[in-house]
Amino acid sequence: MSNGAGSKIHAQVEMLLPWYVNGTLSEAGYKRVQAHLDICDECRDGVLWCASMRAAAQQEGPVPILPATRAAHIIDGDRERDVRQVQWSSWQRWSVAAAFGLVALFGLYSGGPGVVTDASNQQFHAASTSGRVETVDYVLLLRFADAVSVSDRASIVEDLGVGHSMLNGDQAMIKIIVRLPPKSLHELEQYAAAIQSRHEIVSAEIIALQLPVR
Amino acid sequence: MKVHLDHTKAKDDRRERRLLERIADGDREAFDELFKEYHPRLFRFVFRMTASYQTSDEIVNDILLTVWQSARAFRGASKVSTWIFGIAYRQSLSRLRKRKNKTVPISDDIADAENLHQRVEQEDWLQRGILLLPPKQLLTVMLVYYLGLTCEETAAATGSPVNSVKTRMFHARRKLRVYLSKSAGHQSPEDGRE
Ligand SMILES: [Zn+2]
Repeated sequence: MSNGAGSKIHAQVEMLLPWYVNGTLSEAGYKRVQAHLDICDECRDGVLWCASMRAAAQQEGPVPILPATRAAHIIDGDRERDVRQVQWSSWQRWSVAAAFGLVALFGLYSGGPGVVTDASNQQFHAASTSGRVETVDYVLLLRFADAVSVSDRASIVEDLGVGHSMLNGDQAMIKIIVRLPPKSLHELEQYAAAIQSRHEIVSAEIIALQLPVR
Repeated sequence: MKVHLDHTKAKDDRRERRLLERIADGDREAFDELFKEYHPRLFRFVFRMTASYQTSDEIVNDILLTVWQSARAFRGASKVSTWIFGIAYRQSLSRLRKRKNKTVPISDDIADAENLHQRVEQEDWLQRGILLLPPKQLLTVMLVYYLGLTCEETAAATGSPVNSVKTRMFHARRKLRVYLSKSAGHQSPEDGRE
């Protein structure tokens, strides 16, 4: 690109490469870039870079399970949904490696109390039962009755059985991770129902933590 | 093929314009329809940048609330989708600017090309680099590469002249080259200029 006209075209084309790569240039623009690429190494290199950036930007990690928001929540300013009540700060490390989805307890199953019928939960259900993931991690949030002492809380968590590891907890809320094969959702239902029946526990919520979809 | 795509996009836009008119009149059903279309896209878009479920949820709710409240302000100068992504851009920008900057600035010198190409193959590096770009650049990169906006749509959504958008994209690319040319993990493309 030694001559003046050539370097002017180079400067213009160089700036258009992102849209050449994302396929939104007009036909004339596309042809112009294409013609210049035939004679310019630097812009060909630029195309490789833009293509890599595009691939990286589009590289989906785990697909987040959508929050069970409805249009009405937004219009009516109903911000007091379950997801807001959860203390997420200690979960940052998970958010990079996996996507979170909030599923109200029993919301996964038709007919149960508090059924959530949003498409997002159906989407979760489809993803977790399609076999695209080998296991699904669930986080169980347990809220204890005030009268239950801290040591009793710990022993209740221990009673819940092997295969469940307690992650952390505070006075009011304890988080436990439960890993199950995706096709064993009924096990989770039974498990949650058993927990729910205990008088020490005020509420039990399940958060689905979907592992990366291959 | 492109003609067919353009035709489909134009049809979508006409339908969305009608929805937006109804939303401006307070039609909740119309908002519900638009919501179903945009909520998943917006959520994934924002989540890719924040990597935080709760933050994404909050930002997307704010975006959609703005759509509900400001539908009347839509003048029809752009496509409906561009208008909505513009709201997404502004809401996300103000949130991303508040994120903590724990990174080390680097200079803009260009590194040796062979080494760079090896790094490009490590897409994770590039992905991380993109997320470390200054907020305006990050959002613009995501509008172009993730949502696939045209140059003019990107300019409209970001409220910037076309030339600024082009320059911003160019700087982002250059910054990533530098980032990838530097040693792993200790540096970022963030230099706080935008
Ligand atoms: Zn060139």
